[in-house]
Amino acid sequence: MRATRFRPAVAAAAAAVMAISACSGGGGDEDGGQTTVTVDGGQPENPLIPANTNEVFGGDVLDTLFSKLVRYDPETAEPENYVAESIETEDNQTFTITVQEGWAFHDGTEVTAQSFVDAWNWGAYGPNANLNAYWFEQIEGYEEVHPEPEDPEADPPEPEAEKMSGLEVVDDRTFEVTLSEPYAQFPMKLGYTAFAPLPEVFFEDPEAFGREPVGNGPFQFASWTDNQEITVEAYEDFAGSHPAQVDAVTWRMYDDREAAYADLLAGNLDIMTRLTPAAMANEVYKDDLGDRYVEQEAGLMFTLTVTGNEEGYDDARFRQALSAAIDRESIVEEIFEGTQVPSKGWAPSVVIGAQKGACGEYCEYSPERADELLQEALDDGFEPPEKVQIWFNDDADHREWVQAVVNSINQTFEGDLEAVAKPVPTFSEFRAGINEDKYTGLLRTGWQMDYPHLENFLSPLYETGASSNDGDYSNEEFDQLMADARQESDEDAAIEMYREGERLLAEDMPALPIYTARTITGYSEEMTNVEVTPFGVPAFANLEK
Amino acid sequence: MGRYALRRLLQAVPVVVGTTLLIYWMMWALPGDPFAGRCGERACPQDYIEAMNAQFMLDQPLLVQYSAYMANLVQFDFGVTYNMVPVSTLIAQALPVTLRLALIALAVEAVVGIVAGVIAGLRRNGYFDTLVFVSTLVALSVPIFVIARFAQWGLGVNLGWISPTVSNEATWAELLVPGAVIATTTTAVLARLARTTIAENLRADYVRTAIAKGLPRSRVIGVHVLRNSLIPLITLLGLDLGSLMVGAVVTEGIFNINGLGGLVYNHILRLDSTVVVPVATLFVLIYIFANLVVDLFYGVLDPRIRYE
Repeated sequence: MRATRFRPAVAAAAAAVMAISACSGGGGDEDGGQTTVTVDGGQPENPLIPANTNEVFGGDVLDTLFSKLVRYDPETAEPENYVAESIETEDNQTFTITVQEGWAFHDGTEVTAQSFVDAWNWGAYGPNANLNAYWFEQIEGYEEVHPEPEDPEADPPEPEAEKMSGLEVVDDRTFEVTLSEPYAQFPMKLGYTAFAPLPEVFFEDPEAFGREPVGNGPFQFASWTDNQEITVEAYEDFAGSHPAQVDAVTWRMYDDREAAYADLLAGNLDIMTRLTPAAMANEVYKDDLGDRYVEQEAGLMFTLTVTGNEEGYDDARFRQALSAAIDRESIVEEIFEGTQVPSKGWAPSVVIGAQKGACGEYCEYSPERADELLQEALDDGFEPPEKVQIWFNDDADHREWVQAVVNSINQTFEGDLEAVAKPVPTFSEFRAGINEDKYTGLLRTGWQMDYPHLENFLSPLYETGASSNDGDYSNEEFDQLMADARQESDEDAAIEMYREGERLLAEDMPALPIYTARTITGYSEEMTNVEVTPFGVPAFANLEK
Repeated sequence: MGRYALRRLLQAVPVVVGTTLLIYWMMWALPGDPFAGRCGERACPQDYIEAMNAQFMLDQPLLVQYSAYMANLVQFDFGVTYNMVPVSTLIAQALPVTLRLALIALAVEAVVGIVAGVIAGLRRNGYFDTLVFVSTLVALSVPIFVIARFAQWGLGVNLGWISPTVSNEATWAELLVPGAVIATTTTAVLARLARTTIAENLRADYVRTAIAKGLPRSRVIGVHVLRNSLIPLITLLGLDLGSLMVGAVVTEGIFNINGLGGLVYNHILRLDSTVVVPVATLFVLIYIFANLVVDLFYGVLDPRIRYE
């Protein structure tokens, strides 16, 4: 019934103003003159702590509650300084960050350099076991506060330090961040939820804070009824340039998303962030909503990662042949009614640095070329697997498109090669299996961007030993390009290197790009302004009703 | 009768203990790690998984986990869910809603089902009997979620008579339509059962005797026929209370009702036994209690039944 959506990076802070209004929806609105916008949501999986929230239900709420050093433009996703007055560096390794004056937490205490440093140290500290701890791994001294065990099964060793040596408070409003190696795009990451500042009250009782967070964003926390709703209210003394435009936002939690759609049509819900497949089929939503919807290509794409080191899959031409055998256009047309976008590269078009057609001919459907590539590999003595296995988790809507890929491959090779779909019941089981290298073949993988840059779709996924390199891909040239680009101060030159890296993937084909997601957000007649960010969520602060 | 009731309640204790162990074991045997799938497409940090497993004692042997869990449970400490929400809060929210929904459904079943069945039974093969036959046939053959969606879209979206979903307060009035939807199947079964039982009892010896000694028709039907026909009907209603608590998951989801069924379902998906075990135990207790009440009713309805 319920599929959890993960949305690492948050754009919501980006959304500066929120304006929605007196909605009719359920119990939140006692005084009639208020404008409350209701949005569909769900029960957060973890306490509302920035360093420990990585899924969309909690993340959306946190993004309205916290403003970060950097804000992503709701339209272009370009990062710009927000709480930061300036972020300066000379060597791309040491960054001097100055916090703007005048920012305060909702409890009245001031936002200082210390608020950031303490929050980051707490987030990175191993024994706190935060889901987002890895966001701090580039900061010098991370290994000391968050040591990794040699053997993944063993308990992690005791940290040698409590604080990262790379963080240093210079004065009330200035602090220095030293990275373990140069990384020019570091400031861009600072817009993610994990980098939010925390008030002193947090450290007194993190657990209580998780139920009633105190932030510095355009909205302040109001109430949370489990499995029912979460409400945030506009913060009147907000210091930022994009204050809320509505009085309150309420997330109503739905188990059954069709129910949310019915509420949307009945005017009982103001905004629904991802329309259901039933509403998207045959573009029903256009009849139902008229022009009350926003379409947005999202920073989310789906790939089939190949276990390229395993026998039977260790020939690049074979992987390219598989890729060329997949008719992406027909799959998108028939399975998704054209609501998704066929992928021709390894990153969606919304990221900074995106290029067209990095995959080249291998992502164009061509049975002849596929046959040719396979033949070449066979002539060189390559032995294909008895059956090409495509593994996927069966608890979300993947079965149909995976089956379509299987059919496309089988039709192309007409018996020379057979593909089969291998379902795994749940995502958690699938994920655990991938970590243990249990599967051989193609793995259904997806990636939701953390921050809107091409780099985010490359280095965490394909660099040697990277955290999400599920196919254990390794290519020295690619690694070198990533490392060089990280040290390149000139942004355009860095992007050029990332692009080259992406094109390199076409030669090795460690993962087959399949499709990129597009979200459709519907809204009620009462809304007067709804903007949707490249992260696929409404720009909450900009909502008007 | 008091001793009988007491004995029955005491029998419930081993049943409850056995059920919790069984459910606990089944949850434990489900494949997958409840925390490994929480990080989107990337692998969750090992220290997070371990910290969570340690907090919920998932790294201990099953029996150790279970005894620690039961020790807390008997002190009414339900603990927190894997999402760090107190389990008691969740149950306290959902239980009244589910009870209201179940009572509405029971009322609809009892009133509509029995009345329709009795009239149909008394006037067999008449116009009304045929009507009941056809409508119960429809009610039994259309799946419940179709009826629920139909009601939601027809009454909620198109006509605007009701709100398509139930608000957080879940008042009696709001639950009327969902309750009626859930009641459809049992109402139909009950109507048919009532009709058959009435028809059968009308031919019973004691009814013929009653008519022969000149009792008025109203008394013959009201006392002799109806009272004796109620036993199977009450049995069915009692059993249905149990299934109403558990089986309303689909309808609850469609109308966005925050009930026990949905609560259990969602936590089974998350492999979260902290909610599943106590709520399932609650279901068992409700079943036991409902059946006890039904059994005691037998004695009231039929003086020949005695309890020792």
